Amino acid sequence: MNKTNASFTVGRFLAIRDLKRSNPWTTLLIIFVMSLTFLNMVLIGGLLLGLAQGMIGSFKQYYSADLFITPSTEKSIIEQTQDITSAVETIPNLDSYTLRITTPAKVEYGHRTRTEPTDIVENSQAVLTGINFSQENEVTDLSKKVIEGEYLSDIDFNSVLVGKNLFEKYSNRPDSSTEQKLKNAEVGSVVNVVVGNTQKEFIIKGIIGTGNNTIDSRVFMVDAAAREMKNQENLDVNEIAIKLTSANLIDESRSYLQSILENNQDITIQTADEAVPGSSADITKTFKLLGNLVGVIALIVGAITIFIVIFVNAITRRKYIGILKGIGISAQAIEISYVIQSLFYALSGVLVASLFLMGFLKPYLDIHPLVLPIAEGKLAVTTNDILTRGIILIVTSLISGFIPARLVTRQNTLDSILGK
Amino acid sequence: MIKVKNLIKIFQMGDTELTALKELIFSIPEGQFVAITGKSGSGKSTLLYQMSLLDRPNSGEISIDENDIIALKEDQKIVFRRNNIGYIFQDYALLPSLTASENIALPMIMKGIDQQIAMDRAKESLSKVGLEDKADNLPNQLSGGQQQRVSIARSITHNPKILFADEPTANLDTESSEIILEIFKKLNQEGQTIVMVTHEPEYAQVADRIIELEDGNIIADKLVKKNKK
Repeated sequence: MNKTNASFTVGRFLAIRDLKRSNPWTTLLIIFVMSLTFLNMVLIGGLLLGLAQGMIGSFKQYYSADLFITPSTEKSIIEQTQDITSAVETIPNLDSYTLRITTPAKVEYGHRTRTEPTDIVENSQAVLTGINFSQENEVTDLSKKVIEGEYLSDIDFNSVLVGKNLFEKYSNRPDSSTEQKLKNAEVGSVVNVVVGNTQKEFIIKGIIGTGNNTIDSRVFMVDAAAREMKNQENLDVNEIAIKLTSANLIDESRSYLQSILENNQDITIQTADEAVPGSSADITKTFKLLGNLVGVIALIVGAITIFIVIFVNAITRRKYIGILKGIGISAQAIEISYVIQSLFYALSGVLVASLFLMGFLKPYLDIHPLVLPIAEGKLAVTTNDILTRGIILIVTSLISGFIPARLVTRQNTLDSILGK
Repeated sequence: MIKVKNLIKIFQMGDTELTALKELIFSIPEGQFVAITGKSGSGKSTLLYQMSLLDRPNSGEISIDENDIIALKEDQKIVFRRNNIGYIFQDYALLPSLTASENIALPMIMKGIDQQIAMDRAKESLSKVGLEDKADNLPNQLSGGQQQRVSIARSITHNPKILFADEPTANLDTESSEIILEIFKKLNQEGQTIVMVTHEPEYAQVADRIIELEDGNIIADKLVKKNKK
């Protein structure tokens, strides 16, 4: 057996016995701290990333689909929509598409009891969205997000679906001077929808709750009714959301569409990622940055924890280490013993935290996501994330365990034995 | 054979220097049992630390079997101690997280001996000191005398050339002390070189030779007259 092998055997021999015969509560406490450290590294970042992904995902799911056509900045509407849709229908990988007419609107409730024209009734600003409900459902599965009431059919000319953000009871943001909510309106209530000088009463047939702020601030009605509210006679729309059979074909399909439309300058064709509003993209970036920052801080805290644990352990056992050297145990063997103990603490902490994360927390949050005003957040943690961060924590812990052991084994043997 | 020549050890105490060992010269032949005695502060433990490589003198020479041990580096000292020296501490110095047999086996495992063989040999060593039934006991489950016997077993199990003992009976009652001295006598009869520090004159009488120190000087170096072998 060579010197290193013998040192490793003795290091392992000492470490196993130290761990086996140490105070179990102390060991559990250290493992608990390491678990919390690892959770801190993964959980906060994972939740923030989950929120960001939830936000982007919900945009893609309920708003943009795979490709999203809007008017160019110089235009307010997609002119000659029928020509565009004819081109869309030739995309080889087309799954479905939906057309949307949009316009700013105000939704009022309590208007029937108003005695004076100047009386203020409860109201909320919204984006009126005229759609073909069957087509929309094919692209976005919107009917699955009706949280109260029911989805509309294409002949429900006098009914609307209202986004939950317009209701005070669903909104996380209280009334303010700039943003008001509907307080008493509910499914079945008659609301007054106002677009410019045009107003018309509709029955609330359902409430939509997607978790996406943009969608949940809309009022949906059949496209013909919306056109009537806008006083629009042609069939042009403001948005076209296109769903493809495979998300891998997005760039290819966009190129195809651009070529067939001969680079029509009056429209913009965006992918889902490009269609995410700038503020959301910024939030996503910030969340990722924050997640990484919290992860790094947690890593430093973890490294310091292990350093302190091993340092205190080594310092209080200077005599023990002196004796070991006195009876001929190499400094390398003693250092290996402490490194193995650090490995045990870090590995146990990572394992316990991983089991908690993947066995309980992630499945739980998949079913019960965190509901925030900007999006619904699940835990965005993959096995790869756990492995990567686990390895980082373990390597850091090994270094943090080695340094104090090295400092103590370097001390004079006799001084250590005599406790000088 | 241990040779000590012009050995000086000085301690710095603030601004003043205290010379603990003053140009000591002596040698110890192989197989001899030497007791180093003297009053507290006479330098006897300091001398033992220098000879057993636990400390470095300020000047002078120490050689063990013609090896200049002062010139060794720290790592080399550990290896030299492991292969040639057994050391018995006054307070037993057993490792608290290891059982009696594990304490004894550890230096052997460090020498590269298979763990199982080392454990078997450790149990044999324990039987030599009359503690074969305490192999699996942790140090805190043993009396002071038993711990010192485990410490002796640990220090001889790798067949060291020299066994150093620093006041091995200082913390023990008379009965336990006599058991320890009996073990030393037996080991010496088997050819083990022993250097024992003690402040008890009557315990020094078990040795072949007594070196008496006072203020860092050898004031007496005499053979003990007895019929022991």
